[in-house]
Amino acid sequence: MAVTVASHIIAFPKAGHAADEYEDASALAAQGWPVRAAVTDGATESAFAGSWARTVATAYVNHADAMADREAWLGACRSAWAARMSQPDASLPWYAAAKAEEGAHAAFLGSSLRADGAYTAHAVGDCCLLHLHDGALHRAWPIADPAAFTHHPALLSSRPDAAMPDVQTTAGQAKPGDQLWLATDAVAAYLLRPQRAAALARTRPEEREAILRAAQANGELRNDDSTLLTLSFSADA
Amino acid sequence: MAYSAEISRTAPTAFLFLLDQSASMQDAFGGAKQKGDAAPSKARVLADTVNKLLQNLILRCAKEDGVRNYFHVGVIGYGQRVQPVVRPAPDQGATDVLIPISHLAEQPLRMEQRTKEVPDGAGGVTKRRVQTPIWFDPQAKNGTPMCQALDLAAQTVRDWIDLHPHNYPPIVLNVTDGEATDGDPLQYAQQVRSFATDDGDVLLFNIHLSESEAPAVELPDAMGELPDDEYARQLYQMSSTLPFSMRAAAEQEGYRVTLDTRGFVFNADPVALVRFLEIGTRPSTLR
Repeated sequence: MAVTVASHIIAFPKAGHAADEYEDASALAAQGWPVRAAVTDGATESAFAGSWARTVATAYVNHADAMADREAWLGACRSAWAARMSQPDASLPWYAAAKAEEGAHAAFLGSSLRADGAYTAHAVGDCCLLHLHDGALHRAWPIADPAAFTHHPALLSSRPDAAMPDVQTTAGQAKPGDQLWLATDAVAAYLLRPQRAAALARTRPEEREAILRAAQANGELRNDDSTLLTLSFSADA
Repeated sequence: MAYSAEISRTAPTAFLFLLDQSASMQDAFGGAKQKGDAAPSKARVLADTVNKLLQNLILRCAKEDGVRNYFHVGVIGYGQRVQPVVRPAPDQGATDVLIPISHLAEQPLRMEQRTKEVPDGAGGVTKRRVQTPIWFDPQAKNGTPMCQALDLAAQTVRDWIDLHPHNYPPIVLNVTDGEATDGDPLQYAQQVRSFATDDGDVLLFNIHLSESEAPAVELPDAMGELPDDEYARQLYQMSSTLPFSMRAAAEQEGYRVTLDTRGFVFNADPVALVRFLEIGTRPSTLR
């Protein structure tokens, strides 16, 4: 029996904003097992948040043991990010220096899926993992209540002196035919309303961006950067 | 009213500060840690408070590409005169009083070196020198023409709403010791609050800096919570109730709020009042 994973990524900015103002990020490493995927959500009020979000997501999928030594992983993220940033200096306007000093912040969700269907997930903040079974929402983690999202989630900070926040961890078992969806907060809050995940699961992946954009336009999906990375786990006899 | 319009560069909202610069502001601030002669004047506290509020607002809008114009900001001083105290920006779709926040960011009066306590990475704090922008120095002269100031505020928000009828409505923050000398400010406050965009009525919040050493009051929902002070009661009555979204934000920060909670602060730090306006996910360190 050959097991495979098909993936699809939807990513668009909040309405009224340009594509280059999108500050979520996603990353996927699906060349071999385990398949690793991550979504991150850069905090609106940080400067350089999009760059930090990309750094964190990429570092997770590129390092198989990222979660075994989280301090080292976060340290590597911070070093990579700092190397790309111009250092605060006297020539910067006062607000740019202050923002550089504050650093960037992002919520994070990473998941690692093995060929036998066993998966683990790690999260800081309010990005969500949705496990779909038989076309319906089987499990949502770490937030299952669509009303539980706030503007103040836990976040990973790029500041070298910021403490490592608690990383939440879970594990589960996917069966052939199941799907794992990784979503940033606005999409997750939308999908956690009754029947919405199941309804979206019935559509083809390439149809879903239009559905989510329409939901954003009519206000059902909160106006925020939106990211949904879907993994479909299947087995061929 | 919804108060749910998204705040963005294409749909900014407006903050209009009204600053009491009358002679009575020379008196000592009762809410300070220092008492007696060591207490700072109300005018000093007002200047520090508003400089900090403006810095806070600008940093919320500062991104890698500069300061985004999520807000138009105006400052009207009232004392010897009633007049705007920051310069207008021509051709910006703003009024003569309200200017895009990026312009304010670029033109502080001066920068001052201040010492700030920051985490040292080992569980303690260390002191670091930071550049702090200053837009206003303390001023305290003549009477308190608060009614005139509220009247100018009403004209200002009306003109701004004509240009931005669908946006999140303007927020007017009046910082004062409460002693109006040119009439009953309540009716002028009602005039300010009577203007509205499609998204809601103009919000008027009051920040009362008093000589009284009565305990600080933040976001009261009943007169009974106020100190025995006629100006506190009047400013409370002038203040708008918090809209739903701000109540929710206040609740998340641990404030006890009800439908009657008003945007009124007595001898307390008012930064929370501008923090409750959500423009997106915010690290808790950004205050």
